[in-house]
Amino acid sequence: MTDLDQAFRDAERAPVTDLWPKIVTRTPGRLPPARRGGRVATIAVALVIAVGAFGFAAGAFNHDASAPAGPSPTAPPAPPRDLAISYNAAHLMIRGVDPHTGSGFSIKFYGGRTEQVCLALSYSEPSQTQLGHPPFETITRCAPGMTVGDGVALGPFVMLFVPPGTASATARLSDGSLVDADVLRPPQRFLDRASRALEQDITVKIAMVSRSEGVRGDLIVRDVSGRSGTLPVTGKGYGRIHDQRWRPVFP
Amino acid sequence: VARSSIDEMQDAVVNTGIELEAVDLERVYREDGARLQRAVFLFTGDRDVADDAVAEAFAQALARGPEIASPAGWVWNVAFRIAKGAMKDRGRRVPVADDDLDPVVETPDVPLALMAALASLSPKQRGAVVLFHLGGYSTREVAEILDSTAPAVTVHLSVGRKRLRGLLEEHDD
Repeated sequence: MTDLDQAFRDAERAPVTDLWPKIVTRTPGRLPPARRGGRVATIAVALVIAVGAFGFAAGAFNHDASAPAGPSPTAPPAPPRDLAISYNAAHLMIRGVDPHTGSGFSIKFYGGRTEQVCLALSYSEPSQTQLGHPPFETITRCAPGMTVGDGVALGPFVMLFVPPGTASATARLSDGSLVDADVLRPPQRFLDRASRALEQDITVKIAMVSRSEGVRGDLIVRDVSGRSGTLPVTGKGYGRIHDQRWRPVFP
Repeated sequence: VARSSIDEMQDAVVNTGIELEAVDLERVYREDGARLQRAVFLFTGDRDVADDAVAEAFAQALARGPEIASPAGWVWNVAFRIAKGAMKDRGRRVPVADDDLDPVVETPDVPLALMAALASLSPKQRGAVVLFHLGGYSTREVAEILDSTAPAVTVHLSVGRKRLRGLLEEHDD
């Protein structure tokens, strides 16, 4: 009798390609519709959608102005226009917090000690005080895992490490439009602490590009003397950006 | 500032917003992606279709972010749905059974007898067998992934396993 379990265990040795680099830069298309249980279920689903759509429409036209503002439990709030970014190595988290409203979000980093990601790094003193951000005392546990050109996509934002000396940056998107990027500079006292934990070639500046559709294009960075370089940027959704084959442009 | 106070403040800050599952999803991929790729590959018999379906499923999950409560199960469901659609669109059988392909070159480390035997099953039987044996899912879970019912999956699994055993024994002989 053939052992099917053994046959499938053998199949588990088949090599696979690491798709993650493609996944984080892939623009998802349209999903084929799910079909469950034939026509009756299809009709039932259609009815549910119709009722839901009606409810949504009814809710939209009967909005109670006196209701408290804030995010609904099912719909994420619009991303803040400007975020203070913090990183906490102990929690393996990066956070974006709107300094004006206090709303924000976080990303957890997993993977154990060998895969901890070093990413940060900007905040404003008012938001730091107002929101009680940690004073980055735990940054010394931060293991270098990202370098110039790496970054993270946070929905409408793409944040990338840029070379030391970057004075300004502009994103040229796939449609040809230009979007100014914010070059964020952490306070000097933070740099003093971080420099003990970060590798020499990792800058602590971040270019932030805001674009609701995500970003696909080039990031043009310039130093104070006008020298420039270009970094390909692709980011959408939420995920780490890496393997950009970036070479520093300010030797 | 006391460490515990920092933690409390962090939690308070986190609770003001949305928990994004960005790197949660990378963790899902690192832990389960290879198994999913192999399962979709055995289901379709086409590595390109399988990799594309898995990449698309994870990209969809990334785009949806925190909307997805259980990303691990979600990507299996979506990857198989995409793979089924792709195979249907192409209107072809599992290519390992085609004479034009050289399976040794195409899939050097895959048990070719299993691939060929799976190719002889119907798509529903093949999906049920692969998800049950390679995916480790129960018949109820297989039904959810394949958009079927548990009784139907039980039948497809039973018939598919019987046929698969027979084909593999023929190959061994």
